[in-house]
Amino acid sequence: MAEDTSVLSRRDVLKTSGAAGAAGLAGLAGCTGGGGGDSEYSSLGNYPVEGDEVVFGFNVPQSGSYSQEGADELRGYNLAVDHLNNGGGWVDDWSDLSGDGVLGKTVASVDGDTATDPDQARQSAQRMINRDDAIMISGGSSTSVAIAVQELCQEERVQFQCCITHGNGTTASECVRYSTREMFNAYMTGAALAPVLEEEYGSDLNFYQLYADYSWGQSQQRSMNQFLTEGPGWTQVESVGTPLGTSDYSSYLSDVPRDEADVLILNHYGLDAANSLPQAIEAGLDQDMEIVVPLYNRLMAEAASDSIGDIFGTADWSWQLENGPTQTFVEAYREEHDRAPSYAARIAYTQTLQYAAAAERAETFYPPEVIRQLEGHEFDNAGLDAETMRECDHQAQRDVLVMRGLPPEEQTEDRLLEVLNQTSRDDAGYACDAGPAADCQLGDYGDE
Amino acid sequence: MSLLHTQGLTKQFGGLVAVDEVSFAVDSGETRAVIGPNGAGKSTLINCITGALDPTAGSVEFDGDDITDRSPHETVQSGISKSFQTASIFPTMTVRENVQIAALASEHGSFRFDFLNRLSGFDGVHETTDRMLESVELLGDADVEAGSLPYGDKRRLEIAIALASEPKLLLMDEPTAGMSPDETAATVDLVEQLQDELDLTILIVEHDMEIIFQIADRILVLNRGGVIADGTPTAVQDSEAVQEAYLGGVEL
Amino acid sequence: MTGDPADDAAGAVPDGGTVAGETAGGSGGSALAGLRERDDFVVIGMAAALVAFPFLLIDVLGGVGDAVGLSVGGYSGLPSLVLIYGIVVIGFNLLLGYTGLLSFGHAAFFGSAAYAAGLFSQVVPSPILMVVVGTLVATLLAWPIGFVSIRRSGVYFAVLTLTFGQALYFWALGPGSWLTDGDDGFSGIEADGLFLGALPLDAEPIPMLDSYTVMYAFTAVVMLVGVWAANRIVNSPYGLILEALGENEERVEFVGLNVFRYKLMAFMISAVFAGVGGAMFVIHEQYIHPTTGLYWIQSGDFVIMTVLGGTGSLVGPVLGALVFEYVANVVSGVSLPVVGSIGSLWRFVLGAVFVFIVWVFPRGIYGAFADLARYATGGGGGSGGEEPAAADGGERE
Repeated sequence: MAEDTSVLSRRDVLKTSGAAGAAGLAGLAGCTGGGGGDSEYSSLGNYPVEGDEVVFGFNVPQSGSYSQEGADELRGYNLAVDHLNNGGGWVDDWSDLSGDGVLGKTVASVDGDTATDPDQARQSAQRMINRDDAIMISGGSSTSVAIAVQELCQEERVQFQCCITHGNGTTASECVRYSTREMFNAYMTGAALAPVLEEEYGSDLNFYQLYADYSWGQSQQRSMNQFLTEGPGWTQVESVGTPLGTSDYSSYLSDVPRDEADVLILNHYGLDAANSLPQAIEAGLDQDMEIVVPLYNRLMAEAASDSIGDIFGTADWSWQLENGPTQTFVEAYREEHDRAPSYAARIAYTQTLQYAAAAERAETFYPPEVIRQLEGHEFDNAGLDAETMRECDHQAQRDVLVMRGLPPEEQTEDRLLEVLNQTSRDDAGYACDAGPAADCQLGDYGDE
Repeated sequence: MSLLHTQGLTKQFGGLVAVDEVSFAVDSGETRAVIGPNGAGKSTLINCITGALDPTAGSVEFDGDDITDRSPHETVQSGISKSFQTASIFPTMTVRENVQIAALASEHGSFRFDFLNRLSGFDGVHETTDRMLESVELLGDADVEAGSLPYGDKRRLEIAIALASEPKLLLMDEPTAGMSPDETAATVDLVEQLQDELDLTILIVEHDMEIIFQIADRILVLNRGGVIADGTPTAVQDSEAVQEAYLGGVEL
Repeated sequence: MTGDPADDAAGAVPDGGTVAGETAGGSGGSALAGLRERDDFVVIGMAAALVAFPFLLIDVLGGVGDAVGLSVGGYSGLPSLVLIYGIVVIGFNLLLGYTGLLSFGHAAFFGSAAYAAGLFSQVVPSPILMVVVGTLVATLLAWPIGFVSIRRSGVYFAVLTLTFGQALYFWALGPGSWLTDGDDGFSGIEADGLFLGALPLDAEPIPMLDSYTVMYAFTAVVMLVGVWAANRIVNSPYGLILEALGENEERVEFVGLNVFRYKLMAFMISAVFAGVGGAMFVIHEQYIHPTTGLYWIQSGDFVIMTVLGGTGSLVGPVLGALVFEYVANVVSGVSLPVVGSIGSLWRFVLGAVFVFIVWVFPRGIYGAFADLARYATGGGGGSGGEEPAAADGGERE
């Protein structure tokens, strides 16, 4: 996948030449005795970390259509940094974390704007890595951004903790060693939804799909097709692509064969779904068939709140879950911000803490060792009961929530959906040689 | 020997016939005038000759070739150049550059891939440019921005540009329009001088009758698109049809 | 302006701008020596600026930033990125500033070159050949697109170019994703080093000066070639003709020049520059995505950079690229005491800069420097050089 950087990377020269004054060949070869306790490893990426602070880089959409989500991610990140430095929230419950910084250093952060544009995201990540010496980058609301940035991080030997990315690619053909994804993917959505839809609607039905014609939409509709034809034995009438960013779906919706299709699946995300769903209802399609929106997000739910009643979809997490970690997080967040957190904030919070905990377990910031601690890690303290950060593809094996939209009269400001089912990871997951994982070839650690 | 010859030239715009079966010739070395009241079709006729408009019917022959369907730049390359009624110059470029571009086109044709050749190497072009500037007495202002010239100078520049194409036939579209008597006299002198110096054939569209009778060898009179008279100034002056068309118009 | 060296010297500016290269003014006689002098002067002047550039942008600004407590320094990929866009907009200005054609579709050439170069690298991992191949593809694409679009003028031309660009974008994102990897972005680029990998692109040949990488040197060389070529073009008959086209297209036709073919050439030449930029981009970034390479906003950014820098000169647009990329990538990361992180407000900052420049200095940043230089040296004669007509706004009386 990604290229190996040459042995003499730019930060090698900076770090070692700054360290002990004698920037001789021995120093340049990488093994020095400079700064910090954990210097038994050679320089790699932004390791070793000099000084009293360690820098995390938060690369979120601050402009563009997902800026709301980005803002919530940033709230999650800032809460994590606060708790890491001062205690509180999950830091008090996770045995690996001290509440007094990480490995004796205070956590500082810099942030950047991805603008939901892969190039922009890479530029700001580049800046945070090169100039601000970030040891870990996290954030993002789209798969294309995640893939672009994790590519860069693999090259630069800086850890990337995925935030919101649902497309399969991130832990399939585009997977990299220097990244982990805790959020679920399109494949798992299909696996989780199919049984629920069968139970609610029946077997041997016909379904029609619309999907946003870019890689996320394409993989999402493929996944729905696969699981609906396998399990419930449904038949796909047709699957039609709509250009990304379409606001008027009337021509596509009028093509839906009302007498033939029993279920309409809208593989649209965010803004697209905020348009397609209400338009579908306005066209009266909900009278003739069931409508499914496989991936819910807050933006869409709020924008289309009148239309989501009884619409099924999947989601990463909900503040309504009753487990301990969820409630702890929700409480801490409410104290700061007077409202319930979205799943964007939870993922951000989780991924930051996971990184810190892995570094503590590794007793170093040296990236390959931190990665080895992340891989295979089993935990149940992130709000979704038992999870495993699987080694073969860095995709968390975890439960998936199937949500049902509430009719407008039952909605409150924070509660637009209800949790219908928490599909266990065994049912939603897949083996290392199956599904998306079959295409994944993680790159190297960098210390071979 | 006729240098330019039109045969049944017609131009129709929808229902309006602007030029109606015009046939006339311009002999080599002569000064030919085209006159007529407003709306007679003079400009349209010129445009058909230069290729700015495609004639609906008829033909135009120049120096033995049929140029009826040629585009404007091809027509220029064939040897016909037009000076515009309102000075059509390049305002922010220097006077020299204004003329240079016409000389360049004359020297190297309508198109070349010479984007890596130095312009300064085209000696012929520079020589022609200087010569043209000199003949319209603008050489002293060669490096001045063309747009800052007084109007009369702009008109002379206009003529210099047209001449720098080194044409066999020069079309002049109302060259003295809007000029003061002094300027007009100067322009007429210039035209006569140029004709001598450069052995030019001239086709001139004009309103000012005094000029016409002063310099024209033969006159074509148009009215409503059609030819109503064609001959020497005296003949035209005596023509009844012409007098009728111009009733209440221009002094004869 | 007849190539008087004194005038040129007065206009030299710190980052990437030398005065030379304004429109042809190739007077007869004196010129040959004068022009050659100017050619060297342009390239050498540019080279000097390019050598100083990373040091100024990263180290000096970084130092300033540390002193002031604001992170205003550049990062190590930024100088190359500025030059890459600089190459694109120098060519773009030949079309906009000189010929007066406003294209909103040049991302098509930038992006197609990037993808072609990236794909080619999987066969032959040579950066130099990648640039050749990428540029070739962009040029081949420019011929039909230009041929159709140039039949119309003004707004219609712009819309046609926009449409072609968007068509390519949607193709790359959807149906063409088998080739381009669509929304996942294309990252299988196999070009690490020049000369068959002998010289790795991210190597830093000068110890202690880690702002200078082989990649930057490569980019700088390509930039110099581009500037040299553009300067030659401007000093050739094309310089005269393209500028004349921008001023009075009808007259150009009526002096006997084939306007259509010259416009098409201007279009294709600008596409060549965009193609070089696109190929260099993918070598530098090792990644290309349809939004970056082909989306209309990228085309629009080229326009903004060009106008911001100044359409009246050869290298002015490079200044526009510098300011644009600096604001987008560095200012966006600045945290101000009261306001907090600038973040997404960088677009506001850019807008404000743009409005200010265009209002106060209609000839762009470069024009501003030229005016200041002339003011400082006591108001030189005349209008200080011809201005290519289009997109100029404030200059005509």
